[in-house]
Amino acid sequence: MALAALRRARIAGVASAVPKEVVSNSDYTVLPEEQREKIIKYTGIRFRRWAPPELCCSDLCLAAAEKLLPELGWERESIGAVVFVSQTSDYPFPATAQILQDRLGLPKSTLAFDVNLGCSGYTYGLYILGSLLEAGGIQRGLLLAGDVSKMHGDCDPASAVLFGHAASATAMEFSEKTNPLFFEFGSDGSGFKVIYVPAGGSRAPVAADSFEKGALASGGSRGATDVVLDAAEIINFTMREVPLSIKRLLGSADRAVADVDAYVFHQANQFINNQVARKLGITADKAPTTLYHFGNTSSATIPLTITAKLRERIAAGPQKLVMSGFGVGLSWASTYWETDHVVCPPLVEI
Amino acid sequence: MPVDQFVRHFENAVEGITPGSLNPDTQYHKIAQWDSLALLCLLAMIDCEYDVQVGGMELKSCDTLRDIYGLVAAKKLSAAA
Repeated sequence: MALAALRRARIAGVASAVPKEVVSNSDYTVLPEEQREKIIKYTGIRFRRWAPPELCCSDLCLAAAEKLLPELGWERESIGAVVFVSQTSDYPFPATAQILQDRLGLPKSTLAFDVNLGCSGYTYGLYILGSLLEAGGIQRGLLLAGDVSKMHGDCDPASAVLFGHAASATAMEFSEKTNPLFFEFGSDGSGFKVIYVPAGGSRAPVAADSFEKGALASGGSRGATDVVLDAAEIINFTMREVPLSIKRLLGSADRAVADVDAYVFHQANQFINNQVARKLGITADKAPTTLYHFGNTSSATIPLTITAKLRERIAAGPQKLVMSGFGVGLSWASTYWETDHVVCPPLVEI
Repeated sequence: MPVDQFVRHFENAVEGITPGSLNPDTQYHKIAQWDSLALLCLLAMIDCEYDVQVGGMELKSCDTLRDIYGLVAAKKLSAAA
């Protein structure tokens, strides 16, 4: 467990983008209606946004950034870094960040790289980009985070109804006069198989039989290129690590649980977030949710929730926020942020 | 009895169970409401009420609610030692 603080990196703007197409979990006919409705009630996920085959995560990031930059009034030449956080890059290589540097019209002096993280990716990304800015030499940067993953097999009820598609653009800049950002991180790779895709990497390249679906005891079927998700271990992991992470974070920021205006949790499912809220002793109104309309959108859930649920409050005045990402890795990162004149445009739909 | 309290917590945690309908010797995995979501509710209840964690695999060694309570009680004792 690591604690850190950034005192000269400011979050200037947050924008999010989703595909226009809406899919409904009510139409998931692999499960009988009664069971389907029970899962919808448990997860809180009724609808999800779904990208057409030609739309990549980078396209959504681009749309979010193109919305944000004019509202910030930032010249492209002033941007010196692009960090793309995703598990759905355009190609195996090169990194998608370079492609986005070009598509966004950013200068060739831009430092650009990808980070392979999911649920915890947004808060990790804030620290990575903020650290680059704080180190000096780069004045402004973009954190582009999200996923358009289709690796959750339609036939596995454990994962098929959870995931949606979304991405975000967050603008950060060097500033001598800003509120500090506090962070708490952790990793537990011993649990990597709790959420993973068995085939498709170097350890187990895709083979002819990788797409064959095996029957699951819980119903449905799954292939080696589909995500494996152990919900019981995810519950235990989250309840073991996340409330403690947030309490350590608040301690380092010299804040109490009650001081925080809103807790923006990674949106994995509503049951999990309710348990975290209960362990922290906070009420539901302090933990905004976007699960009903968007589902789990990986590293985009936190900025998407800010865009969809908090933009008016942020525009009205400073907010004390805790953002906490947790999941695949296993990995987690929590951030304490007191907002200050943040540009937060409406949700972009493409 | 603490085990009876555990049974009440179980009845509250798992949706659709009539309060007072179960006892410590109930084979939890045979009740009509038992499914993958009930498992998650049980794990969350154990964490919240007893401040210990039970793994999904550990539960497979338990046949009755009394067995689960025994596991939880042993973990609490171990944590306090």
